[in-house]
Amino acid sequence: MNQRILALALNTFRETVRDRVFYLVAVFGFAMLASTAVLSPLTVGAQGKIMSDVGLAGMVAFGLLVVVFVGSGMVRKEMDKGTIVTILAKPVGRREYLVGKFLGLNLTLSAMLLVMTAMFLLLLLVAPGAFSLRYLPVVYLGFLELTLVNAVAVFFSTCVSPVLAAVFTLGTFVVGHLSQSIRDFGRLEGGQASRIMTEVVYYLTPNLEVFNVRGDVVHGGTVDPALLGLATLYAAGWTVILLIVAGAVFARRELK
Amino acid sequence: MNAAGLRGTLLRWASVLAMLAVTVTTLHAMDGRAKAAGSSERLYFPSGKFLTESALGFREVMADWLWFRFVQYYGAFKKGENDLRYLDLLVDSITRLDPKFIDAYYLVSLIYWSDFGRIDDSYDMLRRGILHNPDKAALPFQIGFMHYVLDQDYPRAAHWFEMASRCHDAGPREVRFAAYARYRAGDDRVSLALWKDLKLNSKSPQMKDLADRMIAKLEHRLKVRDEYGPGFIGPIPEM
Repeated sequence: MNQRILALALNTFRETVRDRVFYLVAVFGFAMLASTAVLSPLTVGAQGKIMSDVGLAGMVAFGLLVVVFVGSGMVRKEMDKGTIVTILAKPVGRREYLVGKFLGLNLTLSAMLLVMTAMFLLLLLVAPGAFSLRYLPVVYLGFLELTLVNAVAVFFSTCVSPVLAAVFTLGTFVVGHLSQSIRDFGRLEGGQASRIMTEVVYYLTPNLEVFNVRGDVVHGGTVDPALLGLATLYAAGWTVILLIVAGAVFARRELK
Repeated sequence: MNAAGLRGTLLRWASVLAMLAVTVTTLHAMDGRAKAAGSSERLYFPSGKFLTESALGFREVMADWLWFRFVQYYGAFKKGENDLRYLDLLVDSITRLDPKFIDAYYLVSLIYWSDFGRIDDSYDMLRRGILHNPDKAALPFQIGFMHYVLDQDYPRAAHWFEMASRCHDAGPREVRFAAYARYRAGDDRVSLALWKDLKLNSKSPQMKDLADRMIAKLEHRLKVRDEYGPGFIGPIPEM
């Protein structure tokens, strides 16, 4: 990898660590413990299922929090502080800067997911019969989803204020999970125009439901390797598109 | 710290404690009022369809949360605090959010027949679960068990036990119940085949022993029946 991008990525990682985002991992651990110890009398035989549901959904939820609150303000913060000018005065391209930021936050997400997965698997040992390594592909798909959302956050952080970027990123997450329903609605509604419109929306917004196989796997299913490959391609495709567009917007941006 | 500073610090902490006491007391009072008004019976609960869409990617966690509410709601019913009038709505939401939640179908079917005597609803709930989980033995087994115990309809019970025994997660229990239900229904030849299958596939010595005894019993019955012809209705001597 380009040394400049690597340096920027590592610096962004260190920055997020300094921002204490890893406290969220502690919160995750607490939520897992609560679902194990405190709530187990209420689970009525479904302890393993509930622990797995909470753990797998918690990883995505906490990752999303990091992306929204850190990612959406990442570029703007440096613009406001003026440090971006210092960085760009060096032989670093604007696109390299954006890719470095994106990779840095993804490194943070990977580290968080790694720790959370270890905690999750350890706690599953408590519930009889709940421990299984078949959850690992689910975590990987969650990571792909967060990578895509991270690219969305980086894109919005180049064009609007941090608050708006956070709102738009969350909005994309919501639409991404509803796009299939929107398309179904268009098909059921019947009109040709609405059908075409919803099809366009479906293909022009990232469909985040393709990364969600948690329910099936918790109930004993396994992830098809073909799905893993296709989902990887899908996430990579969207990420590249978003980073290219973000780079184009950022290249034209006037920096003070 | 001087005396004035200490006094100020103490005053601030005393204020915090006093306000904490106020919030705890007022919350307790409001809870009491809500309880007196019977607010545990909710007037509005969103439909399962709506919840499925609004849960985004967190449907299973929402189903778990509703499951906790359901357990508490049922507990309150057992204590006489409500009449479970929103049971169907709550269960519909849980099973729409997580159609593979076997425990929900199972427990609710039990509640239908044990608490309300709604046997048909109980069967419907289990059949709904089977539609979403055709490979899980627990639900057809439960239907078979209900036919066996409640209706004493042995042929039908045997049909469901056999269906359960063909599921991927079926064990010897399902085959044993199917074989025994066939025996009770008088389908001796099918029962014999099932016991033989159980003997062949079971790893448990006790199960093999039981299968041996049942095979001997059934072979004897069939031999007597063959000897006296299909019109034989007299008592068959036990071994």
